[in-house]
Amino acid sequence: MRADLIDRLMAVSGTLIRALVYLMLASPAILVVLSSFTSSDTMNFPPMGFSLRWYKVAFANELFMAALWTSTYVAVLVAIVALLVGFAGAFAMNRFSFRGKAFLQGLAFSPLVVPAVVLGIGLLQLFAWLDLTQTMYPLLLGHLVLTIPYVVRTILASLTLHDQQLEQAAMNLRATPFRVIRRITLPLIMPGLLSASIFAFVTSFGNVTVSSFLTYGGHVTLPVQIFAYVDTSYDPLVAAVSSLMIVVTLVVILTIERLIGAERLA
Amino acid sequence: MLALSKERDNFVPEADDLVVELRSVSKYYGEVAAVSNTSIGVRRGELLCLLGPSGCGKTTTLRMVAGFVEPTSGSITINGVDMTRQPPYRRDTGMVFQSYALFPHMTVAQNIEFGLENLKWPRDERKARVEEMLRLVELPHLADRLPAQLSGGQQQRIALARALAMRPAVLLLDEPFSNLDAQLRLRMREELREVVRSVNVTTLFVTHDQEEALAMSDRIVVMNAGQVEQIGTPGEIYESPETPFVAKFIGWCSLLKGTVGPDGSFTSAAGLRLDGNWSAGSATAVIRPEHVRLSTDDASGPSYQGRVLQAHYYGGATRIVLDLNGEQLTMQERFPFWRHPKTGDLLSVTISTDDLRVIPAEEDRR
Repeated sequence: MRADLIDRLMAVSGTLIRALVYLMLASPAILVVLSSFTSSDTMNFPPMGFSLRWYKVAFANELFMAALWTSTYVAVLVAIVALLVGFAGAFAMNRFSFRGKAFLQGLAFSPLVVPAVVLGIGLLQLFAWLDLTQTMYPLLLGHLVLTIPYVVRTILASLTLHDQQLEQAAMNLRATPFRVIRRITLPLIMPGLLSASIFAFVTSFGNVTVSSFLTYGGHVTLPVQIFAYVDTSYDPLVAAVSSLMIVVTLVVILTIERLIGAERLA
Repeated sequence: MLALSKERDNFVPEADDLVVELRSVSKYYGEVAAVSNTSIGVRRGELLCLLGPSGCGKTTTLRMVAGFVEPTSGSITINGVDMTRQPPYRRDTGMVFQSYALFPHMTVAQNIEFGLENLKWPRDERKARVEEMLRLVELPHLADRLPAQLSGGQQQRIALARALAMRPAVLLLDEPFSNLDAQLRLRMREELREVVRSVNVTTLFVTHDQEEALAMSDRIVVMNAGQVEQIGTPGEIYESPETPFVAKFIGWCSLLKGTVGPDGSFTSAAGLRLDGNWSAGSATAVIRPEHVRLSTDDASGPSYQGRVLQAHYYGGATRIVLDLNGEQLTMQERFPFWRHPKTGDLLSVTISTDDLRVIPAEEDRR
């Protein structure tokens, strides 16, 4: 009877704490989205009235729209390239033992150890020296350096759990190595590829620290643009733009899931 | 089915028609030899079993035939073509893995079809073949299930259907029954034998279970420590083992070391004497439980007094370890429970020497 009561208490408090944690995690986004619909001239919560006026302003703002496009474009490209490079790297590390494997593994994880600011300054100097500062490459390469460690780690974990005997069975059934990867390995580690690509996209799409060193030549990403804007003014335009960012992130995640999910059934 | 197996029981594979031939194959991992200097030929249509304790090299041998392990030296041919350095996907083998290795993201039908797709069979022929294979293993109703929805026995049958669908030159089975419980294992063993017989496929089969090997094989290769101890029919392996290891590994037996005198009789180290007509020299006598019988009045040959060391009641029979003049022998006899012998009891036994195997020491090379 007593134990029953304690059980019930534990269950209830567990549910409460979980709800609280989710609320805390979601509340900034909820606050931003709600205040973006305000009709007043200043940021405030709770929002006053309801209007889409700040969205109209946002869509009319060329700086923000260009930055949103740059961010999306860079993040999608980064996710694709990081997935390709990351899979190749993780596959090699998982399957083969070669000289310098431990070094390569350490190297793949090193950007997690170097502070982002230091990384940004280093990359800035590197690209200035390479004379690439007027192009999109610094952003792309910088974000790849940031995201590949995550991608390699996630895919490596999937490959470690993957049953290699299935690949042998496929080879025994006359599948060439290329077909084995396409028909057996990739479909079976798809959940890992899915989370790796979402990781890569979100990291690239939301990054400020490294991006702020690498956004020149007119290629400014949205977070950097927001940062710069907030430095001088603080109005609901920022909330509207941030809400757009959330929408793009959700759309891309759902698209990735749909794309890769469909691949799995094929 | 029955008529078919009867017919097959008289089947004698041609000794020079080899589907798979391993010539002096060795596999070293660093300094350690997993398989050393092994030569085995699998004859067309036969079911050949690689039998031995774990670590004897039988699985390595099978994997070398499939192409997953590259031999350090020697050659492997399949249907006369040298396959020693060919990758697995160029070899005409079909393998059933110990864990079945069914593709979890494909249905049963897709699993079976996979090999045919790789062989670029036309679509309608593939479909017909998949149906034929499902009928062969009697599971046509499971075509659209995923492997996770099947029982262990069903998974095994699908793995077999998948391997056979490509009509491989040789079917490779890696301990196919080890993941099944004892009852199912017996049933699946009979089923598999029937299926393999009915499609008449040459089969190389790995097991550590001597009973399985005796029941299923046309011939058995007994392996130990990376080497072949003996190759022969189940009868030859059981009745006339060539080495003490083979005798010990196949069935229960007591091995008595001793010498054969000029008169052809065997005397063990502890002084137990067996009359016979063996060739002189030091030798090992293989005494199986069925050689030792309780003495009866009309028994021929000498009778021995044995002291019971252990008696284990198994219902249908009792297994008794006897001390006979300092030698330990095992016998098996039916005792009613109320007359069950106890430790220390004296039993009078005779040893039948008619089909007793005495292995001369020079044959015992290892």
